[in-house]
Amino acid sequence: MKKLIFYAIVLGVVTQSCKRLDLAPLDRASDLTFWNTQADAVNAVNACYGDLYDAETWAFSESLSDNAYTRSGNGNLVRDVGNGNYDAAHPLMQQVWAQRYAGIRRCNTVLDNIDRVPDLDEGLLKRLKAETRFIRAFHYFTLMNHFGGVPLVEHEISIEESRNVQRADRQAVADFVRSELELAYADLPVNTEYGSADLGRITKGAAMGLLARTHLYDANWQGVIDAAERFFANEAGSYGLFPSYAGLFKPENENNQEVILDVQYMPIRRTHGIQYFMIPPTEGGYAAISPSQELVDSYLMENGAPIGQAGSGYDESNPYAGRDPRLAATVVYDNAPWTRPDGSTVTIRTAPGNGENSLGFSSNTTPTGYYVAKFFDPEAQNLVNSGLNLILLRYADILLMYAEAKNELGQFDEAVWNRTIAALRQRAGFTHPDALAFDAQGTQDTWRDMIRRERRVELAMEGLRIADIRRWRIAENVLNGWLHGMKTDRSSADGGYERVDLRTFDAEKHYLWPIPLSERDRNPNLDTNPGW
Amino acid sequence: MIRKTNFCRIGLLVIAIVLHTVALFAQQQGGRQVTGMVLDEERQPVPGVSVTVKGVASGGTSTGSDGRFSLTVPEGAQTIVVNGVGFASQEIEVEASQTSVTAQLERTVANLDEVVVVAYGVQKKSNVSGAVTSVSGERLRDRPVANAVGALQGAAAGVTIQQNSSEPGSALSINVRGLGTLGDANPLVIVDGIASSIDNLNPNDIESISVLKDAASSAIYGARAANGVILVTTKRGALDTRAKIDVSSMVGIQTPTNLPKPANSWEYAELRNEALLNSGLPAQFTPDQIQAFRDNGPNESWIAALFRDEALQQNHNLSVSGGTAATSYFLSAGYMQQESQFKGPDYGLKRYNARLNVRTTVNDRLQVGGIVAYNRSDNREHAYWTEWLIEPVTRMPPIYSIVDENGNYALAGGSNGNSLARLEEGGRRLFSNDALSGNLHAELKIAKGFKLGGLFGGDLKNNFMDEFRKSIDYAPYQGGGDNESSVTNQFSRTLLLNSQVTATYENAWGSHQLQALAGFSQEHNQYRISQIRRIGIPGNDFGVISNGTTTDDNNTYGTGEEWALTSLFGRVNYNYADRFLVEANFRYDGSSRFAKGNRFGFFPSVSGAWRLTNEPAFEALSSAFNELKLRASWGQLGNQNIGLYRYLNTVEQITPAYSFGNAPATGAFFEVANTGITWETSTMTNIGLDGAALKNRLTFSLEYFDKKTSDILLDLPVPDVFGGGSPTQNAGVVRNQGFEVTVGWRQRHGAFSHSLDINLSDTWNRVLDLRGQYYIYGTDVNTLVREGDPINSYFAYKWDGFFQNAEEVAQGPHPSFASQVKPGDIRYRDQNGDGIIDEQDRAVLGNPFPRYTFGATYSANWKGFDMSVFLQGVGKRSTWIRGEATEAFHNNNEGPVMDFHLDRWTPNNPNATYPRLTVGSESANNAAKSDFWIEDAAYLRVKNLQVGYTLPERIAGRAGFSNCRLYFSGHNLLTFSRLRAGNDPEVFNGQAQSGRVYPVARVYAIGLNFTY
Repeated sequence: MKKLIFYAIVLGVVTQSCKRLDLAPLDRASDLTFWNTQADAVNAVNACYGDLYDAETWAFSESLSDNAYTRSGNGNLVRDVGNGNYDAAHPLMQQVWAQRYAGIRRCNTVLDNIDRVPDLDEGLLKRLKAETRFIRAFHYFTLMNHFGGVPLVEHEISIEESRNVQRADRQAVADFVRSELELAYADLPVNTEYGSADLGRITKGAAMGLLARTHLYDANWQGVIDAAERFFANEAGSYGLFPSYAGLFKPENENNQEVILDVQYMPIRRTHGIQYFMIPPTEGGYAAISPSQELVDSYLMENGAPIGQAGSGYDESNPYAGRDPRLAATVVYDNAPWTRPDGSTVTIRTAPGNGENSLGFSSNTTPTGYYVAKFFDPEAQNLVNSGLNLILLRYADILLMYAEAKNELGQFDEAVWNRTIAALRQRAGFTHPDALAFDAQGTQDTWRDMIRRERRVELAMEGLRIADIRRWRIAENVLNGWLHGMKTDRSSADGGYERVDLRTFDAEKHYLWPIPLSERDRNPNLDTNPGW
Repeated sequence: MIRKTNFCRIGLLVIAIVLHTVALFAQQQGGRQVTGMVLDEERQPVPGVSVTVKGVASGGTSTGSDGRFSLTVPEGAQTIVVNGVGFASQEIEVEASQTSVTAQLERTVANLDEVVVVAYGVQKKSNVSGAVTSVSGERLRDRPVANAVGALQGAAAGVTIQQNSSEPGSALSINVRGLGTLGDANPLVIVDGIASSIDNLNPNDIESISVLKDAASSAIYGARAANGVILVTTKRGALDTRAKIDVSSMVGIQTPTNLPKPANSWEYAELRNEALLNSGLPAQFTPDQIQAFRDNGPNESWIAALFRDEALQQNHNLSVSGGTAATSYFLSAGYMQQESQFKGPDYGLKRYNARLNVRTTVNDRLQVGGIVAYNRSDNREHAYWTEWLIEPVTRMPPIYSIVDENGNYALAGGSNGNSLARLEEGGRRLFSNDALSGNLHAELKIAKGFKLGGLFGGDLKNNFMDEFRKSIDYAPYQGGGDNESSVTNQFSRTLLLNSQVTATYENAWGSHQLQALAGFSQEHNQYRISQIRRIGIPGNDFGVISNGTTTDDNNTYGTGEEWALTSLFGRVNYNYADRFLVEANFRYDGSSRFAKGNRFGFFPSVSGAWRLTNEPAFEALSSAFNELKLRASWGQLGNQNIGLYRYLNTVEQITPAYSFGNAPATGAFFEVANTGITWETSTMTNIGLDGAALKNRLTFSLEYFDKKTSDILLDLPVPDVFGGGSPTQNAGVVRNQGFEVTVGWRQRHGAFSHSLDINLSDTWNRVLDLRGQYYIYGTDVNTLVREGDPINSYFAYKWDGFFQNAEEVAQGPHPSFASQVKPGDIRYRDQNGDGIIDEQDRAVLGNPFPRYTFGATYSANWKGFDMSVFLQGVGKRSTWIRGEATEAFHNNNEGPVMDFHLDRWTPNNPNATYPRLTVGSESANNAAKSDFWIEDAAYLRVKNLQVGYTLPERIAGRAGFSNCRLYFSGHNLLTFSRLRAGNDPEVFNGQAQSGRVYPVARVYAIGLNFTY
């Protein structure tokens, strides 16, 4: 018996001994066994899509411009950058840089390895590579717009290489982006060729649309026109304006004919929470992105006249009446109606002293007197987590780019007007003939103002304004001094309009972000931008 | 490099020897019976004294409650050794014919002959040559703390224990001798021979805790010893004693020590107006409104509203121990309840502990034993995250009420939630954790001095979490964000199995004594976890998974991981005439955390000690000192505390990585690894001096160590252009140095005796090599790792006073990150003198690691009365406090405004302690990262005060008790700190303290212990 006990113990020791030390993970494979099947190839490319845009980065980027103000530091610290209080150590620079290069590595991994997959269908291989090339080009395009020249990394690199890379100049990056987009365009299908399981994949239209945008940002007007004409000829796919401006951004109208490129989300499983930062507190929001008075003022009257123009009919005491219908579809202003998920309608009061949504009521209410209506998803889980796709490029933009390019080349005329601005205004709901008629007395300068204004309001809150004011070189005018909110007369300064944020823009250095300090600390070969 | 198979063969060989020898030896030895009695100076019987035969390690006994013992003395043996705690050891010669003896013991005030637990065995304290601090279980008793780690705080020099939160169920962090690594710096904890944790042990079950601090004492644990080793030994019964029943009960109340103090509502309104005007914005409050606040309120501290005035804490323990001649046992049961200080339905922790330790002598060759311990903890907490509850209330101005005049939870300040509603109506989270640990062990004598031991044990943890978050209807308020109900269940299981075989050899000849140990150990750990979350519970009631309407796929998952460690180890001790002591250790470890070629590590150490007082040449010395021992050691230790599988390039397939047309899509993600990573190695030198003087009344111990850690495992930041995260690398060298001083004084004046124990330690570190790189971490605060500086030094601008007027502002220096600087703003030091404050001007400004940690205990006894005071603190430390814990109108919010913000800069208050008040962009200058926000976190705390009375034995005896003590115990009674109100100096959550923590509790408790 005594011996038995001892043997039992020893037996325990023996059976427990000599466990292997080679313990593989339970939940994932080693990279050695990857790149064997078609699913491997597709899944590796799918992983690249998530990097197209982070929803918060995208939503907050409007506050870098004069269209909006972000009061809190939620999300992306854009307030400091928007008002000029930043330097190379600011986390926003590093965030954007790091996210884009992480995305670039994922694309490079695909492009360096996908040829290893045996027996992959030739057509699928070409398409997958083209999708990946597009996404990588999109990353470089985004980096280029913020930083100018950046290191061009075209393959997976080692840590050692990453410590020594140098910046390519901006032109080299732009040339790379364009040549990649052309390569991708050749191999991609048009939008109508994808089945429902592939809705949202990169298309010929996306490649051509982004190519147009690269030309636009470089003021290469003929390039813009050529790209747009491929759309008009239905070569780049089949696109048109969606009949309802407000409906364009509703979940039930996802993947409509106007969408050229978007970031796809779905309810519950892949959601974003940007509307929390946009909608009124009583509707479940927290005002972190607030449209400015400057944006509201740029909407025309329904007769097509700017509010400051004599005879426009604008009434400062009733400022939201008789305006461009896109104002109500984009901005929630004082006394605006709001439809709740249950179908009932309430009135949102934003003027001071009018309750829980009103300016000055609390730190969660809008400091400008405005909330954002555009991306509200009534089906969002818990009123916050939404599966709404975020549109990065839509057909309206092709029209606006085309109009601008034509005008810059002195080719703006009634035919261009009808094809572009008039079409957009009709879709927006303008009915007044003055708003829809071509201004034959106009000059290139007046048309330029008109086209820029149209671009601003049509694309408001869609993250494009900051790039426009940079390329138009107007940032020192619109990003200096006070940004305003609604007229409250709480102070006599600035005509009674709320002062919201005092901004500073130094044209000597603020047109480009500094290269992130952390990156320069780790790589002595990186220089930075002028003025920093 | 020994391959794994060879390695196992060696282990099996050892086992084969065990089996073989068991078969060989089975006979009994003869001897004679000696009975006796042990008395103290007053000729009273002394129970519980160990009585052994000199030179025979086993077969000893101890005295019963009547002081009597009975012992088998083998043929030829002549000397009996009597050892009692608190008494000088005594040797008694026994004639061959003698069958009964009487021993009279002398009390000592310090006992250097006490035995300390060391790795894989015990050693007389006087023979220890490494740096080992031992804390008896007695010192951990009767403290109103929720776990043993809390009781250990301040009790051992060189052991820094920090309390991150006092919330029931939260763990404390333990650090031994500084930060040697940039990774995980937790020590290895071994409970009764098996790697485990102290968190859920019943403090009453602990016999002793040994902290192995230098390489020599811990190298035998090679692989994981670099951050120190803590050995916990639980209680056993004594042989030959009748059953002893110990009962202890303690009941106390907890109150929050240190809540932030908001300014009064009228002060808030005035300061808000001032900040707005300072920022070019219109005032918010009219003078009438401000007067109304003063006259009619509200004036409400939202943070105080979340806590109860008092919460209950209680501990009850029962143990039965004793033994027959062959078998000893210890049985205990414990119950601990700690209510949460949060308001809400019955939040708090309940823990049940049960333990059985048994050991029996099968014959005089074989001893077997077993330990089984079970604990269950049920923790009920709110269904939110504590920092989410505290953050909004800290920011909330006192001009609002948390519950409005109609009794509704207010959504004040436009917020979309109310922390009190979340506590009281938001559901709950239940943790039901079961842990079972135990081992079976055996010891077999093979030949004279030669023993084999085997131990097989395990630690099983099953944890279940059941969260039911209820939706909250804030009507009549609109827009509450808590309108989603959900149920989350999480189950995890961890199983650690460990088997060990050891062989020991002991011999003595002339003045020489030799001990040797060799062993083999195998550990395997398996962890599995799964979680399911479903949202939308119709009716907001009956929160079980089945009632959820939609599965939240993103929060529904299951996974697991495993690791294994195979080791050979050995030790040799040599003692020459109790004068020279030499010890050598080694461990050879193979770890599954590294790739094949880098898997094994060899960790050697040597130590020596010279007992000067036993040296005949230094006779003069021994008249002045009772003991003087010089020690020195050197050794190498390994650290493998990195995540698992970090050497493998892996591909993880995640669904959904994206979605196409509202259908989920799978994506494949590549993790870039460094396949060449291997052990982090610390090389440590230690010198020490132990002594006793003045008839052992004074004892002291001094230590100095120097530890160099190389091949530090670090997720070294790489340029973001790399795009693949930061693979773990063996990246640098860090040097830690430090000293520890322990002094004790014990004195007796007749019936009055008192003692004082003080310990003080300090550790400092410097990064020696980082391959020429330096790294700045963090977004809210910045820390720096750079050659020549301490690890994780704060890195920021230097505060240089406030600008007093426009001329000073114009003179600069001008910050590059803020366009609006005005009088009253913070001025930063222009370190490089270029007139611009930018990143070039950042400097090293302290670090969060505590320096000069100390503890002091004074105890006194007079007749039946006893008292003790325990002070504990930190002499030097910086804490970067950030966010709403310190900044007025943090991040452009409505609040907070605290009492200390009243002393802000205005033209009339130029010597203010806080800058001019601003909001929004106007705050860009002052909100920059600077040492204006880094505060001195040194402190002194009256950690524990006890006053007790023990009934005289003749009274207690009448009721059948052998001991009965009644006491008061107070915890965290008084704190001296320079921190602003609401910031506790002990709280340490990473690099910065943002104040979003459950407050440290002060506890007043009364207790009763008795022994039957």
